[in-house]
Amino acid sequence: MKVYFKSFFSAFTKGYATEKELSLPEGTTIADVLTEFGMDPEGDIIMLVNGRPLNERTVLADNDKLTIMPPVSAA
Amino acid sequence: MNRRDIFSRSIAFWGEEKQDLLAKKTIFIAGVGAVGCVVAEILLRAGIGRLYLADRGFTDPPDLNRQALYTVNDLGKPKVSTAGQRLKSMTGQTEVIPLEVNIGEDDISGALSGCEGVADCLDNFPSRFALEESLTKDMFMVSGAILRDYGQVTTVVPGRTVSLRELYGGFKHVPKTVPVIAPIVFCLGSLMAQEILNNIWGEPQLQNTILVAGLAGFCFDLVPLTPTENP
Repeated sequence: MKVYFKSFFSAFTKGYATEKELSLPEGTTIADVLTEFGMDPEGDIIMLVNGRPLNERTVLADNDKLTIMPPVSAA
Repeated sequence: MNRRDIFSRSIAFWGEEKQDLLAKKTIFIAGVGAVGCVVAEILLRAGIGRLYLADRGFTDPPDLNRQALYTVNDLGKPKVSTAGQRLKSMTGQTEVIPLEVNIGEDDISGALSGCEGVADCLDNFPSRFALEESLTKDMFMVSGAILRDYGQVTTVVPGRTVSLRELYGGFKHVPKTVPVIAPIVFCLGSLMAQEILNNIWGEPQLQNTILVAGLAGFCFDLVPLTPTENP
């Protein structure tokens, strides 16, 4: 299945969001994707699937859009 | 001073009807730190009718790299009294009401009941959640947060948008001392102020949307959100 992945964590280091189209086996979770990218799935990460906030245990489906963002709270 | 003179350049852009509407509106600024100072000044210079300034902090030296309403002469003084004095003198057209309160501890329901909307310029999640829970269904809250040279803005309306608690609930650790610089403060504060004006005029852009601003590569992006109620 295909999942469209977008990360805003690279906005800190590279100055732009990272976008990739991933080919994944059925049953892949958000945690699997984050681990693949070297991130701690239990870390502080906003995880959106098709715009909906979900957790790392969420199983992804074909054509899902997975967006991850850093939680920021200063002002 | 003539009100029409003061706001003539704004009226030339957005017209008298929108200008007159602003004069009738009240906004609650929660947190008058870095972003809160910018939001408050822009709304005041736009011609908002009344501003509540809510903060229980005092000006410290580390504030001076980015908090626009404070100077070395204000160190150790309550932020809301300094900010209130400075803002009142800018146009003389806005009623400015300083509140030395701690969001989440003190009762702000009386002040909120007279407000059209809220600017969430707080610096921690528990206070932001408490503020969100204080909103009534007819209110909007423009929420902004920053870190380093990066920021995020969204508009929350109870029952109609994804909530802050849905977005940020459950995060374990956010350090109290964070790296933050003036360019993102002024940028994000400006974006928040514009979105508050948009909401007042019935033209919100960031309900169920996060606006991301990353200054390192001038990365600006819109991230759509889907509320749970509308699958």
